[in-house]
Amino acid sequence: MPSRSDARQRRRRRMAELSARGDAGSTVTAATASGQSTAQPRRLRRRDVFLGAGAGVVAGGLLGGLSWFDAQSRLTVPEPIFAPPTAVTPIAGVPEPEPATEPAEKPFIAKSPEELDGHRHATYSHRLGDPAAPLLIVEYFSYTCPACIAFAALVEPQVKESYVDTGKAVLVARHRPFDTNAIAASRVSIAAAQQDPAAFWPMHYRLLNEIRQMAANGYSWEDFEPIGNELGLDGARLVEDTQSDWTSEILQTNISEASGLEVNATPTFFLNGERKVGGGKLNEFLAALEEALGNA
Amino acid sequence: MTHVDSPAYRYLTALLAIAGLAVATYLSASDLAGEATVCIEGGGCEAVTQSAWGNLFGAPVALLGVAGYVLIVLAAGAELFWRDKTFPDSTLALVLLTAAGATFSVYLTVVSATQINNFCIWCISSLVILLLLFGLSFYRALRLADNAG
Repeated sequence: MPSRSDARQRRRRRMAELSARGDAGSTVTAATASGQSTAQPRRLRRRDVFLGAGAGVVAGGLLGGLSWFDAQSRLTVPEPIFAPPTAVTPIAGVPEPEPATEPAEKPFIAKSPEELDGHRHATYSHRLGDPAAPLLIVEYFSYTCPACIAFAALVEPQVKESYVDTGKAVLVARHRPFDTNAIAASRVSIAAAQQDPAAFWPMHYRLLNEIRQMAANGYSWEDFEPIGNELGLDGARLVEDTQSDWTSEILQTNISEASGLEVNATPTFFLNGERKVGGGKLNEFLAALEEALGNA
Repeated sequence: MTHVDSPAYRYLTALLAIAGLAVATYLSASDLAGEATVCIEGGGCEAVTQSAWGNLFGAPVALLGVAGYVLIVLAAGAELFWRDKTFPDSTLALVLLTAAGATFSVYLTVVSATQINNFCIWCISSLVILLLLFGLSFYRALRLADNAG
C-alpha cells in the first residue's frame, strides 16, 4: 500500500514537470482505452481571464440593475423627498397667496456647551420638564439611529420618571439627522411642535418607532397626515408645515448648533454642559446623571 | 519579487477574502439585530442599510455580501489547498466573483453618495477589499496565462 510520503513525492514530481513546461496549471485526468490515467495539463488562457472578468462585471452590473429597480419599486415618493419647494409662477387673475407669517423671534443657537443653558427658556426648543431644574440634559438625536431608538425605549422612561417628573432635570431634544429619512422625520416633529409645543413629544416617540419601517416600505409626506390626526393635530397642516421655510430654519439651526459643538455621533448628550457620547446602559446613564447632579 | 503563483499571493487572497467575509458578517448581524452603541456621522451604515437600497427582494444586501464572500473564500481556499485539482477553474472563478462583487460594490457606493447622501465605513471597507481582491486575482490570472503561453 503506497505511503503518504510516496503520494507527496509523486505530487511534487508532477508539479515539477508542469513547472518545467512553463505551465502553471494542474492536470485533469482522462481515461484511456487501457483504463490508465494520462495527465493532460489544462491551460489558462488570457482570453478566458478577460471573459471571466467581463462576465463578472456584467453580473455585478445586472445585480446593480435589479437592486435599482427593486429600490425604485419601494420608493413611492414621486419627487426627491427633500427637493426644495419649487417657485410658484403667478397666474394672471389669481391672487398670489399671502406669504406665511413667521415668528419674529429667531430659534436659539448655542455656540458652546455653556451656552446650551439658553435652551431652558428658548421658545422653539423641544423641552420636557421644569426649565429651572438643576440638571439640564440636552440630547442630540437622529430618528433613524438605532442607538437613539434604544435609548428612548430603554433608558429615557426611567430618566423621565426619576429625574424629569421629580423636577431634578429638564430634558431638551435637539435634531442631528444623518440621512434623508431622519431629516424627513425631524421636519414632521418640528411641524408638530409648531401646532403645539407639547405635541412634539408624542410625535417624537411615534417617529422613533416608525420611521425606519416607513422608510423600508416607502412613504410620502401625505402618510404623516393620519399620524398627525391621531395625535390630535391638524394632519393636513402638519404635512404643509413640513415644507415650510420656518421648519427648514429650525431644523437648520439644530444642525448648525450640533456641527458647531462637534456632535458627530448620536445620541450625544450634554449633562449641564458636560459631553457624553452614547446613552449606554440604564445604570451607566443614571450614574452619569447622579454625577452631574452632584456637580451642579 | 514574489512569483505570481507563490503561496504568498494565494494566502493574501484568502486572507483578504476572510476579512471581507468578516466585514459582511458584522454588517449583516448589526443590521439584523438593529443594534449600535452610537451612530457616527460619515459612518452612516444605518442610513445605508435602512435605505431603499439596503434590501434586495426582501433580503438585506449585507447578507448577499456574506453569500458572495463565502463563494470567494471557497474559491480562494481551493486555490490554496486543492489547486492541482481545481486549476484553472478556481482561478477563473476568483476573477469572475471578485469582478462581480467589485462592480456591485461600486454601484452601491455611487448610490450611497448620490441617492442616500451618506457613506457606510463598512461598505467602503468591503469595496476596498473587493477592489484589491479583483486586482490581485486578475493580475495573477493574466500572469499565469502568460506563463502558460
